[in-house]
Amino acid sequence: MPKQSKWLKIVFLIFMSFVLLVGCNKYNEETTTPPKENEQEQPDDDAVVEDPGAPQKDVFNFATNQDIPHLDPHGTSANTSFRVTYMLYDRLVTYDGTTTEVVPQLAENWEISEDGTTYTFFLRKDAKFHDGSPVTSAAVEYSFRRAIDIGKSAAGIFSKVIDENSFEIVDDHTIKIKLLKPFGPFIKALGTVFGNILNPNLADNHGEDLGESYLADKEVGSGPYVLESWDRGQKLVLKANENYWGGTPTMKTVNINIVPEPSTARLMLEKGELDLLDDTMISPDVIKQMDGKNGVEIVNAPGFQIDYFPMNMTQKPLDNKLVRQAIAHAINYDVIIDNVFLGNGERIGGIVPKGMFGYNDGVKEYDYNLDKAKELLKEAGQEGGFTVEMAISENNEVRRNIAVMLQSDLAKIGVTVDIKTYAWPTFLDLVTSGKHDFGLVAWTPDYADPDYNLWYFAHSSSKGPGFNLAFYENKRIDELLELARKSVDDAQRDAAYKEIQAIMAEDVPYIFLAQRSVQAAKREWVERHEINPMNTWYVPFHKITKK
Amino acid sequence: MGAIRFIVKRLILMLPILLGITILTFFISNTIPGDPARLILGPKATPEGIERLREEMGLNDPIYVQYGKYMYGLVQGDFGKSTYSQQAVSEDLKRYFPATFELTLFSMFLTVLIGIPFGIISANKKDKIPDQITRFMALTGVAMPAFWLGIILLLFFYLKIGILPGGGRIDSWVSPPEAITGMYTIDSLLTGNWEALKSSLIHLILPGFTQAAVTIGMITRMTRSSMLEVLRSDYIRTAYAKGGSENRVLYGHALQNGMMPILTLMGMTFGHALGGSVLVESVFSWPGLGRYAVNAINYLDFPAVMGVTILIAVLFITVNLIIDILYHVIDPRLKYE
Repeated sequence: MPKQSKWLKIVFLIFMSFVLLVGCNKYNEETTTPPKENEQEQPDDDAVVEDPGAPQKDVFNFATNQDIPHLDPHGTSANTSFRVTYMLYDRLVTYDGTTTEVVPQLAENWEISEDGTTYTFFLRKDAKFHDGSPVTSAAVEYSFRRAIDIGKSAAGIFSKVIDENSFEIVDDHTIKIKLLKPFGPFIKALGTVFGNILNPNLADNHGEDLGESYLADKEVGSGPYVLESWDRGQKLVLKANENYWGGTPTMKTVNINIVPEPSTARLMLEKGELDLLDDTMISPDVIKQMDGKNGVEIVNAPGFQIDYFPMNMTQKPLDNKLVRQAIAHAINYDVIIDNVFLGNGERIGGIVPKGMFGYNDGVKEYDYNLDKAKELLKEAGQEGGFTVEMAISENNEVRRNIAVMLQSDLAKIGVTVDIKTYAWPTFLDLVTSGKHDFGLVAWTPDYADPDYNLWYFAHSSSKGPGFNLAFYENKRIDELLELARKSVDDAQRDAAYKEIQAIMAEDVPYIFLAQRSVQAAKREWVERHEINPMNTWYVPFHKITKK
Repeated sequence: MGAIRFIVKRLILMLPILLGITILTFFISNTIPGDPARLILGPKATPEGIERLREEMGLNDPIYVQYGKYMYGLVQGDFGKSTYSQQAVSEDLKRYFPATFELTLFSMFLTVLIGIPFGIISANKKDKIPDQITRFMALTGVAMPAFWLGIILLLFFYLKIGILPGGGRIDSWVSPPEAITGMYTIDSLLTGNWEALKSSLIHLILPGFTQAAVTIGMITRMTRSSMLEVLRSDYIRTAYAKGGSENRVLYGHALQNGMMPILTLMGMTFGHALGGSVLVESVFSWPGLGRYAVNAINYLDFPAVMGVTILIAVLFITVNLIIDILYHVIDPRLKYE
């Protein structure tokens, strides 16, 4: 038997078996989410491909390119985990729809004492954890104590104002929380993912690490969804909680697919295999190409994300206010908004976004004026120009484009910008330790209160690791921030925040490039999908419907 | 007996190599500027929280103490806990490695199946049409970036004609087979789950081919040049003179003698592919080791980085050992030393 023809035969046979395999598949249909999981197991595999043509009305396919690290609501700082824990757990209050004010969730209502230190919450009586046990005051106490004890992301917010002695259980459904000091935005902080309420029976599985390893891939919540399965790096499946006190979720099954490559996700969306993409996944120019084609629709919604860069005031000559003002005048903001964000953003004068309580619409916005900029540089004794380094983190096309535009803008007033790209860990280390000049960043608040943004950006105690990346210090601002944090008088707080924004506009520790709007790519058949300007990773799967 | 002594000796030699690798990896990854605690806690963490976690993670110890602690765990089989996933690193490796191993095996299978015959044809018909065709294919395969090829294949086979899936290891409506080896195709064969077998095989085609494109090209060219040399030897002329058929001479006499460099190259590419082709894994949403490793580096997840490196090193050394043994099988004249 001649060996060559044997080889050829084998190759041919294998090839044919592939063809056969492939032949009985239908990836060319509009969608391939055949029925299965929503009712019961369907052992008959013919039934599986019975009706792949019509989209599954109660199965939702979401894709993100960022892996989900783990699901401990008190331990994670990853947005991709938030998206999941928001659905698995309830909070005392929550942010719903497009509003940035909290609405009742587990707490039906609440009372705040005159001095702003005692909060009394009245819990609803019909809420149950996924194991059937009721949500009680004890669960609330347990959750917040755990958040603080773990000392990770959630503690960052709560440990400032509560400790283990802050709780007083009045009865099963009434709890008093006493703050160590008045904290105006407390109720807003409770609506964040860090305020998730856990089933206290987690303590039975604690181990030595407060249940961190246990909760990494399990959940003990009371939310509209339960965790069905999680194939790490591939897909996480949420199943509707049919007994949810807030009504049965519309989507019975939610598949959160990890599709690391945006181009692949785009193809899958265009094919109808996905319903919605993570809004951070696709760059503005690609989004523009996708709109209105192949059944894809782009949703535009207001957002609270602000793109900015700090000017490190510990570096010369950036310590000079005139130099910073000159730089502010030398940037062609409109061109950046039009060409990089493709118009999906607007100018903003400070770090409090338009639409948030305390926003000051009268702050000084620096216009693009090269003559003025040169004049200011001259006044500062820097007419000869100087060189600064602009740090950016890798893998972000938008930031790279912004950096290049800033480079050419600033060159016109004699300032040379060296763009340096760093891996994210290095970047973070560089800017928080103050070794940078400029660093391009974007910021979204966790709760809609100016205290959040302004404390991070402007309080002298936040310098460096606290994310005051300009290393900005202003006594008056410190005073105002501390005052406003203590106050429960909204008018007084409003005035303080507006004054802070005005001072910062004069001092220019940061350049605020734009307040971006959120753009998400979805199938046309997806309806009732609301984007929260602040919490873009709060995707209300339980309310979405499909046409 | 020689063979066994040879293997034992090589296995013992593995230890200092591995020790060296742990030292290198540990110290190099620790020189990356950045704070793992800060990355876990995110940009909005408090300085006190970061300090507390650093203390807890032992990051404040001098680096040689950290290394000592790590090695102390390692010799007891403890790879540590991933700071990123909060899971034991050994669990993570068990989860991600089979996917990569399956893809690598499949692409190597394609490589051998296509690359070697092409190379032989090419050598036998030197400078004729078949040689030109295979040369063109080989060079295209090597020159095309895997990332680009993957997207183009997806565009065509998934979006346009729609006969192959868009990524992942198995269709969303098929439940993966019971985990035995973690490789879906093998597991579904073992459990007799034909639906899962079909689905996982189909999912292997595009990523397997994309990953194999480069290696097929390399093996084709290597086979060609190695065979050309052999075909010029006297014993080939003798074989023909004795009336051996072309196929018998090519596949019986020439290939065996020309196999050595091909084997070496295969061992190298296999080891390389095991490290996980991040690009292929990304394009096809393949949950493999490559992506796990990149994530680990991005989060300065040192235990995970170490775990991946050690695993790959062990495999690389093992593959090399197997190749060395295969040399002796192919060429019995070689002595074990």
